[in-house]
Amino acid sequence: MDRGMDGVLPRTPTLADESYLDFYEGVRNLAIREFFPHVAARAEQVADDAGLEGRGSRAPIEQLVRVADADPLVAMWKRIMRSQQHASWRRVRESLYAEAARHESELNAAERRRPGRLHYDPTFQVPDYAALDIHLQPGGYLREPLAGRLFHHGTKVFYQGENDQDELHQQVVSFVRPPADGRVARVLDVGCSIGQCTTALKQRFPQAEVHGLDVALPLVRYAHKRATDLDIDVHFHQGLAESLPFPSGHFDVVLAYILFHEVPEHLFAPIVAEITRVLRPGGTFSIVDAPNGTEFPAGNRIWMQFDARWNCEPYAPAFVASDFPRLLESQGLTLLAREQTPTFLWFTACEKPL
Amino acid sequence: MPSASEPEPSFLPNPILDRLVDVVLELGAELWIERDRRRVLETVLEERGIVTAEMIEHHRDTPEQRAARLAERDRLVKRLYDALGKL
Ligand SMILES: C[S@@+](CC[C@H](N)C(=O)[O-])C[C@H]1O[C@@H](n2cnc3c(N)ncnc32)[C@H](O)[C@@H]1O
Repeated sequence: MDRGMDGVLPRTPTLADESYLDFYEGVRNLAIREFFPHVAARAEQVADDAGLEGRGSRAPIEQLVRVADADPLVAMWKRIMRSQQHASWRRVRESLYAEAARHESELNAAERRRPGRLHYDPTFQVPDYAALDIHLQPGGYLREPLAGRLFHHGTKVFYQGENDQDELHQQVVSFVRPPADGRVARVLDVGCSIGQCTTALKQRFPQAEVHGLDVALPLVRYAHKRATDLDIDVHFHQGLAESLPFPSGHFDVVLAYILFHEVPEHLFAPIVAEITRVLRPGGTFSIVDAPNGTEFPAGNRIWMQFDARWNCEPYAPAFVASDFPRLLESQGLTLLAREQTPTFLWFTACEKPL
Repeated sequence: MPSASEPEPSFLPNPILDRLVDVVLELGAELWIERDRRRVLETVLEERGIVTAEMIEHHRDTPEQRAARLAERDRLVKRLYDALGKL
């Protein structure tokens, strides 16, 4: 059933799906807002009780996880987090598949309705590293034709009701640093997923030509449908951040929102080099992503290891451990700003020198 | 490489406990589905004096109704599962 939209959020196919997902969103809120502070305190305590060298923040992660996992509260918290994630995906997938043909035909209709805005090559080869079920999303971003809408409903729960109207994407885009000369004719959103920042960028820079790029065709197809429905005129491309299908010096502004922690470490430098290539001199690159290069308390380390291993975020620890600002500078960029956003994510801005 | 289809791990001391947590969460969700539907049904009935399945599916909460509904959800979730955070 088509139940229309709640603002920019599509309604689930039935009320029962909506109630189910809202319930698990409540479970997630309880686990994160109420239980996690106790989990974090407990993790410090068990590290101390076990006499781990370096205590909770510096003990080797395997040792910390071993003592923490033996604690009933930590174990229960992990169980709830993982079960909530599985349950949400399962329900979204079942509900979408009950009407798969309709969702598929909506994607096709959007391509016909606004031609020349969705760019992909049927012979495009997707690299193996991208074929993961990130966050346990069944079929990942690539192997599931309805992955875009699946991602939209699933991340609604993930964001705990705080992004129903793309509030977080708007916030991310508000951080984007325009070039010092103020000229913004072309904007690129790398790793755009379903294009929630891409459309927000167009709203912030209405005169600019705005492009979103992602390796996953199911995501950019849905991004195009979504933008078409919202009547926001942007381009989407299936492509690779490490091999961008644009000429050198093409863009004034580039954004990468939570892309880097989802790519393997060996690609950090090639991706930054490629983004630097497509920026014009004086153009800016804004990044919003996981924190890195600092020490974390035991609770955060436990959560990050849990995400890496049990929520299918295998590349994130290397990003968190990296010296990302130095990597940006090593590719010829000048650092302009680095600060924490209102969430746990960090904002970094840099510029391609004139 | 981790994937969504690898065998489900056990975090609790016995896999039976892991599966029972799943069962308990699912029961809570089913309870909420029924409550939520009854609430919508009563709301539509009060407003329109008649209700069909179609009207229930297409009902839209006002912002106040939505806030009240989420607050009620949070109370239920907390009542049901608070004990699991007291280990
Ligand atoms: C967490 S999502 C990004 C979220 C998105 N920026 C948003 O606004 O919600 C990471 C995205 O990066 C994409 N990705 C991963 N590796 C990539 C690559 N090498 N080139 C382009 N996109 C890539 C994934 O397909 C996924 O959609």
